[in-house]
Amino acid sequence: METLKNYLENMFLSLPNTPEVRKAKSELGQMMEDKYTELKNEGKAENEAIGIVISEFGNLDEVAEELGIKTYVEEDTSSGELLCLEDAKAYLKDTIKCSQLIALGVMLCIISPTPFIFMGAYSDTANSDFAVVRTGAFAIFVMFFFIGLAVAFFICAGVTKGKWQQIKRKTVGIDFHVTDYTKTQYESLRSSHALCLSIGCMFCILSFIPVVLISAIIPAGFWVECSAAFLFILVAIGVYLIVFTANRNAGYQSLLSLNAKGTIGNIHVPESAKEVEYTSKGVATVMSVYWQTVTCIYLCVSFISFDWHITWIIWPVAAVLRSILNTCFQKI
Amino acid sequence: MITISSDVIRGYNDTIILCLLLDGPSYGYEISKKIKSLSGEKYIIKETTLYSAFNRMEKNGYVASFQNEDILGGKRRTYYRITDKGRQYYREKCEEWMLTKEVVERFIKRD
Repeated sequence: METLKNYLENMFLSLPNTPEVRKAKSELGQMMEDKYTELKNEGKAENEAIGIVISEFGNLDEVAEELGIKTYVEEDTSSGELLCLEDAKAYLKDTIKCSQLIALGVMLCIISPTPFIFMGAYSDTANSDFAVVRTGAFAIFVMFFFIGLAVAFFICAGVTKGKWQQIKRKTVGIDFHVTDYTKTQYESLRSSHALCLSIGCMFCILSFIPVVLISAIIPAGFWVECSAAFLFILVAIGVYLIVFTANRNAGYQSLLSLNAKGTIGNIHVPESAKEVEYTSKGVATVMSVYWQTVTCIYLCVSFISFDWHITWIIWPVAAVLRSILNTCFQKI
Repeated sequence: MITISSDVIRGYNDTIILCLLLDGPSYGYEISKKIKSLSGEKYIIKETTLYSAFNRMEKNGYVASFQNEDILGGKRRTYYRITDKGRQYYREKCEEWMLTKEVVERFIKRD
């Protein structure tokens, strides 16, 4: 029976997701099931029954023509191939790897200014100028080391992702089997996703606590001046969790949305993952490079002013601005 | 083995289905089973053909569909019943076939 269900789902994959098509699918499914049950009751073997049902199923073009959707069927099945299950599994594995790399990179970027905080705290309490210069040089070295490592991670993730861009371009969609697999996996990650998001947010929100606590307990001195570093570290952990889980989720969603928009095969894509459309072309262009621009501004401002302790504020502001832009210019 | 000409039969799928519905409402698989047995297993209608015919005839108002449970209890199925318009169409098609058969028959040589 599973085979017949797969067969039917795959036949309908590229048809538009309309009430008429869904009705046709359920009716045909019903007829196949009835026939299969009867053949089995007659004592036919599983494979034989399936063979008979499929051979007597007919051609879907006929139904499509009747429903006035002939063009859809032809257009979609000729131009490419379906992604196979092995590829889908490999893609998901790579997605998780990339998510980890990107999240680690972002984390390193966030904690990269912390050596300066330690250095500042140290130089204020240190005795000799020589020690100050030495720690300063060390802090710069560590910062660039972190940033360098982050960039390496980003490149690594980009290369892995690039490999899949090619495959995505060649394929027209995923069949029912793969959709089912991906969807089950995606569903099973739901609680882990929610957990990562909430813990991540909690870390970000509560990141100021060490600063407050330390300055409340200990009078001014080395540790109080260092306390800002803990803020960065907590934010970095929080952001790691958020970026990791968001990227992982996006990977699953991009796989599920491989099937053409509005087709039966596309029904599993969550509403939130559908691409946002904007009312004006200009806004759409800006939004397509939004985070890259923000990153650029962040790095430029930070390197010019060297006010790393405050420039991070660009990120929350940018996030808020983005949701405002989305609400104002989104096509409903 | 000679099989049935799908080109010729295509024009009469509606007639065949309507004829079976004259006896009372029925659903997809039951119709296809009856076609198979009444034709002496010489004509097996494809599922897609059957559904297309139902869909077309419903649009034209020859049949009406409704949801009903199996007589044996259990599955909900889409049942189809013939309408008055369908009966009228069926009679027209019967006459059309008589004429067609009569004409074609004159050109069939048996030896």
